[in-house]
Amino acid sequence: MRELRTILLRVPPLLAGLVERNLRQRLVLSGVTLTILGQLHDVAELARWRLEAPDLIIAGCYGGFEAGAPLLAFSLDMTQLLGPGPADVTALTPETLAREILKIAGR
Amino acid sequence: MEPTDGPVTTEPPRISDIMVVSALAFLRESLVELLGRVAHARVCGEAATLQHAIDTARITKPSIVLFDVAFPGGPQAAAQIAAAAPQAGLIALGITETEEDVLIWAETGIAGYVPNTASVEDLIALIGEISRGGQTCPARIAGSLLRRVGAGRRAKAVEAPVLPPLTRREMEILRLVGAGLSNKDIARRLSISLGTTKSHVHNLLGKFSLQRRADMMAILAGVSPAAN
Repeated sequence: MRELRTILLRVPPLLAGLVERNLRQRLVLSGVTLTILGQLHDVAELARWRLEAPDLIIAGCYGGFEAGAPLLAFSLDMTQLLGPGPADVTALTPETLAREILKIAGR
Repeated sequence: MEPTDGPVTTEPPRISDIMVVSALAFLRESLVELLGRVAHARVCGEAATLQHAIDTARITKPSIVLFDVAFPGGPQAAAQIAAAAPQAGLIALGITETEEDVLIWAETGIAGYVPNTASVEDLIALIGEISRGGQTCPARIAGSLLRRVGAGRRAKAVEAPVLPPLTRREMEILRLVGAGLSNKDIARRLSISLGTTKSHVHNLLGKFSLQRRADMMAILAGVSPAAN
């Protein structure tokens, strides 16, 4: 099993729960587990968590900070998934989010 | 037969058939997936647009509509969907839990709401609670709702017509006018002359500041008299 140590940044509680619960099953079937290291409310908190060397950051906001790890972010209107590359944009659905996470996990 | 002591059975969660309405694919599909695994819940439909929501509500007849407050049209759209599914309780998902926002949605006729600070566990618990007729909310919200209901009732009381002082005979005649009797019938009923009856009716119109007998009958029937 490939473990992705993940930080959620400024993701509202309900969405964070949906990401964790719904994605877990999709990812496990592909041999990946998502370990949530922390749910951060402020970009300023990210600096402290870099020492944990997360494999992935899932953010409810995009830009204005140095991620230091592969970043997947929701657009402001929650219709698009941004990242990990600066030009990577796709429609945001549970399936596309799982697919991008699996790419980051090398699956 | 002797009653037996035993554990008190708690009321099971009602939940039942849910329709999910959100224009956001991620939220909608995730909720459908989540709620499909919740005990006593069955997702009977989902919709991303208003017309689809109205059509789906009519066909599937959900007992609960889970409505994303970010849906285009907001409360107005919710009201249209609710009209298409009058049997359903509409739950507003993602309300900012301020008194103003809760009151706006309460006046739309929601059965309950899930605040935007809710977790998945909160969401599931609240849907169950609302399906059983309850709603957990902060004390200040409950107080605000009570004050709004009270203010509405006081406003209605102020609008209600106040009777001017009337004699016993005038009260009798007023009652019979309200019953739809003509002056002739009233005179016969009370064993008084037609002229005396007309005089009493004329005095009553004066006390109510009305021009016509029909207006007095309208007030007694609880409707607004016609404008002059």
